[in-house]
Amino acid sequence: MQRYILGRVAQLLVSLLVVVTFVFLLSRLSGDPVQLMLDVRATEEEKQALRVQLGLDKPLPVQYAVYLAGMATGDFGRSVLSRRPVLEHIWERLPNTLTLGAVGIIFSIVIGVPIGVYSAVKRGTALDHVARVIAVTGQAVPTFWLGIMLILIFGVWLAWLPPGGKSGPESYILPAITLGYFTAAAIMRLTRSSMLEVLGAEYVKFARIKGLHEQVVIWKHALKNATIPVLTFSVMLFVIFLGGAVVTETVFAWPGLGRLILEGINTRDYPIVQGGVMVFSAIYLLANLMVDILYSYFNPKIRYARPGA
Amino acid sequence: MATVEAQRPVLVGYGPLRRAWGLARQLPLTPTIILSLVIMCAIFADQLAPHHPTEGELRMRTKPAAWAEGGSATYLLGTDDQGRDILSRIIYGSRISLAVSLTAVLLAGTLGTAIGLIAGYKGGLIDALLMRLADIGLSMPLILIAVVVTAVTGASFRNVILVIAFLLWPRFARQVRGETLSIKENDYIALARVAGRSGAYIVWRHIFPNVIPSLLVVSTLQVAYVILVEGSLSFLGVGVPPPHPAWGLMIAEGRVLVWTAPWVAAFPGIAMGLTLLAMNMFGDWLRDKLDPKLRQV
Amino acid sequence: MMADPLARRRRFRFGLLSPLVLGVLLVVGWSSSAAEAKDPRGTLTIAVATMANESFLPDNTPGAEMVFSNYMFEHLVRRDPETGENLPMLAESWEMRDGAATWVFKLRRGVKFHGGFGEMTCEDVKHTFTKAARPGTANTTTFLKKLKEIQCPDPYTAVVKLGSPHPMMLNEVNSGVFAQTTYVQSKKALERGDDAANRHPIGTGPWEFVSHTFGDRVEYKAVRNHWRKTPEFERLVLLKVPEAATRIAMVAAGQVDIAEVGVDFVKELKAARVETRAIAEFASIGITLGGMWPDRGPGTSKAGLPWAPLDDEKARKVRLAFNMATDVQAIKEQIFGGFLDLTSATMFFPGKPWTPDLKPYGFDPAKARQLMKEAGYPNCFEFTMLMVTWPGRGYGPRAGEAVASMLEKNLGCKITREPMDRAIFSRHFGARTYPGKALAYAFPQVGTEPWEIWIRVGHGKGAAQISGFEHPVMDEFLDRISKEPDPKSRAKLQREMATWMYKQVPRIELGGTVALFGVSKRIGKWPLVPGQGVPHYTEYITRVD
Repeated sequence: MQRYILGRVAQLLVSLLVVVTFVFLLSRLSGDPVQLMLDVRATEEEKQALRVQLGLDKPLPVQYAVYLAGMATGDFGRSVLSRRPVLEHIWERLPNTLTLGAVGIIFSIVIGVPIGVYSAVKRGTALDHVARVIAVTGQAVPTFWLGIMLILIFGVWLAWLPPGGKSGPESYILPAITLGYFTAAAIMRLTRSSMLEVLGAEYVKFARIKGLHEQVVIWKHALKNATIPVLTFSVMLFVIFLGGAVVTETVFAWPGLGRLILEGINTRDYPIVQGGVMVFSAIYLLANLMVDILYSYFNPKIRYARPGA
Repeated sequence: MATVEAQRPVLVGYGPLRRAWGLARQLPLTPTIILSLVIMCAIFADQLAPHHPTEGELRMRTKPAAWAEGGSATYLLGTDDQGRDILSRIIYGSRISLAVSLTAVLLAGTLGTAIGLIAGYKGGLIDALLMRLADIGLSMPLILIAVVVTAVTGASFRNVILVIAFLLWPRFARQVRGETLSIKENDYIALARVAGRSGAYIVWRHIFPNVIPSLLVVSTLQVAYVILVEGSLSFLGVGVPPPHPAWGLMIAEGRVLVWTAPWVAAFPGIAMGLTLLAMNMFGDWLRDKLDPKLRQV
Repeated sequence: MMADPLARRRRFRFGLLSPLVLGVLLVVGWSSSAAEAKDPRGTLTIAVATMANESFLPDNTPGAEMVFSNYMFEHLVRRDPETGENLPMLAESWEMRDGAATWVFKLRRGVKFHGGFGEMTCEDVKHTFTKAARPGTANTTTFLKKLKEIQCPDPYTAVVKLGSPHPMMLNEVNSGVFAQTTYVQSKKALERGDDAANRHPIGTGPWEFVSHTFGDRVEYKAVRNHWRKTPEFERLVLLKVPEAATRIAMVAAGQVDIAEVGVDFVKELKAARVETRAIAEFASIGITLGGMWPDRGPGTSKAGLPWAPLDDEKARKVRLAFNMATDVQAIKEQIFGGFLDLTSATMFFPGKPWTPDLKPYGFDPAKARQLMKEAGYPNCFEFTMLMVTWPGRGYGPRAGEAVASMLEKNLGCKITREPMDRAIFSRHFGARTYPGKALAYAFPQVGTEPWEIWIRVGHGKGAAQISGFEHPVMDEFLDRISKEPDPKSRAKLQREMATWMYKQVPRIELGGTVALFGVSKRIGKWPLVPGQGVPHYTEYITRVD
């Protein structure tokens, strides 16, 4: 187990290095940042001065080494636009992404688990069929489309909820549903199948024979054991949410990390893109690592592929 | 999402193609109808679409669907903000969705299968190296990387396909490698080796054909996934460039019109949702057929 | 509110830039009428599409930053929304010397910086402008490029010495002109270092800085007993919301009070029952046809361009055909909701002293096809159109798509669309590396007269090129106008220039448009200066509830 974890941590670091290198190369290949930072009327001397100031006059490998050293020590450079340290901007945004992800997870569990349990218990009934339809459509509805439709219905037509931006707690609702619908469907499927498996197990049969109330059997004995894969899966949800953060944050004008990166791309603010992708990937990889460790720990019979698969 | 990794029983000496034909005769009704429709639209878009997909009639801007008040039979699903027929754009859009996803999956599948076969058959250091590479690829935030790459290299069909294919190959490689490992253990492989067959021959003639069924399952599900990724990229403005009628782009363009013309975003979303739904159902069905053990999940 | 766009337009009298203007005006007129002391309360929230560089440093603000920072800072001069006259702001009076190469500003006494940074004096003017003009600056203001030195003979007199005459100086230190980030900041505050100055900027305006979250918001609080006007709201929040649909929904839901909305969303605003305010004469839209300029090295020229050079008769026919194949009226009605002044030359709004009486080329597809045949392109040709997005001004690409579609339909052209962010395109217009490409672009008003934008983007020696063409005749016009201190003579020269351009048909001309804001029910009176495209003078907004 320890060896496995160590190996996975090493792999995480390599993955991070690959991402960071990749983004570095991309940003360097895509043109002269100085051109973007200065006014069109800037003279060649002015451009050169800025290049020296930013270290862009040095050969590429040196730049890369400086850049890597910076990344390792948490110095991500300064935003081309605001000229403030990138890390400051990331810290301002990161909590918004994480809290939205957390609310999304809660939403998908609160919705997914009970429906999953019910449809397993009442297998073959109308409710089970409805649940299955939800589960299947949940995988088919594009996140960004769902978000727009939710804005249309609850933000525009009914005007119940804020259509975008982060304000009070109510502003979390629509983005969390958008993020969570997809995963609520997956949780529902998972809960249903784990429950089916557990309900057929010996100890559950025994509990029934003992004369325990059916509700107690379902909610206490069966669900408790069906929880492990669901909990493990919740961590993976986080990975999925991070993956969908760029899209959801764009749809809802949510001031998170994903949108920071996307806007950094649009304005060619490469230090922001580099730093943002680095932090984003690190969290993503860490969450991924946790999923893997949890899986190997619980060693559930059913192995789930990684997010997106 | 959470697909189950198929632990398929190995099919030996039983023509996988014949088996596929047998399956085709019991195709599930709903997804088959939807998918055939999508494919027909993609192939015969020129004949089926009532209007030109990009040349609009500006004065006919944002007309609602035929059955709604103010709609006309000329534009069955209404028009968008450039006065283009939404139905025609959806029909042509199926071409983009399929072309991008099939090409990307074909590229990723070919690369991934080759790597998976080599890694699984050779084993040892090569296997370890290739699989670590695949693991790295799998652990990346895919959409984010795709957005960064397409934004920097410029939005175009080619770039979208290449980026997606590049990010997708590890999924195939892992699957194929796993299967190769178990097939490799079979007696007839050992016999072929004893008979002096080359490694390439064994992989091509004995292992690859047995991988095909599960490749089909993975591919079907990945096609759906690529349609979704392409849609997301187009939606974010870094995918297929306008005025091409990519569904994701149409949704993005319709988004600003939710007040006055909600149908502009709604219909392409429905088209995309139905396609994904059918693709997923089909993939699930295929997996159940090829791997009865996991059917109940 | 939305009735007739033209009805909202205020008449301007441009007697303002006569030589030796000696402003002795005190704070009178429209501001004092609303000056009854009301205690500020509540929050005024403004949603904008972009906050550009999101920087407060004088040398890191190319211009568009005005959208989030003009509230807390003040300029030397402001502009009367009704008459267009220059009024005193931080400068109580000014004087032009040496044929406009020297400007003397008499500063107001007793203006205090926020946060105890003391009284504003000439040293603050000198320090801010000198920093803004330093080598490598991102500030694009023209007079800063000419700046030789600033002298402070006494704390309340600033003598600005320039390398060459600059008659339009007052437009560049003016809060009523778009994209002028030449605020006066506290020297003491700036000397704390860039990071400190950027994290907590210090100004003299009616709003004091509270906080800034990059890419999301800037918050201000009202300054009580401000020397000019205490706002009626206690707080001011600037929100960055890039998506137009979200901004509209937010203002409709009352979540924000003012939303910057592109003029192409007039119908959406109406459907959402949102009241609107328009800033007249904000931008001019058209399709630039790149490449009508001399070769300037790799990537700057392309052989055999059908629409170049400017003087070629066949090329002129192609350009005229493009104009005649474009149904501008349909674009005006369908995309701009009526807010498009059909003009015949960029930035020449109708009814101005400098605008000649010329009819638009008119929509005539048959004639257009005939012209293409005569030019030797019966089935048109292939080219690329760059769809340049200015955040918050999506009508550029939208109008561009309409034109491209019409050219394809009416002439048979094959047009590849290439979406491009304005930040990225700026590289090309600096280097002139888009020959043979068409360009859907909205020119924002950056001065008060048309030549001020033309000399920046259409002069052979200009560092930027967005007009598509360069020509010795044009250069001569611009050189003469820029040195002419008399407004009437300038107007006459500009009429001649516009007439000359009209004959050349340099681009596909669509027309001039407004900047549009959706406003909540809480917004009462709000004086807006024509051409100033960002929310401004919010301290003068009256609360209705």
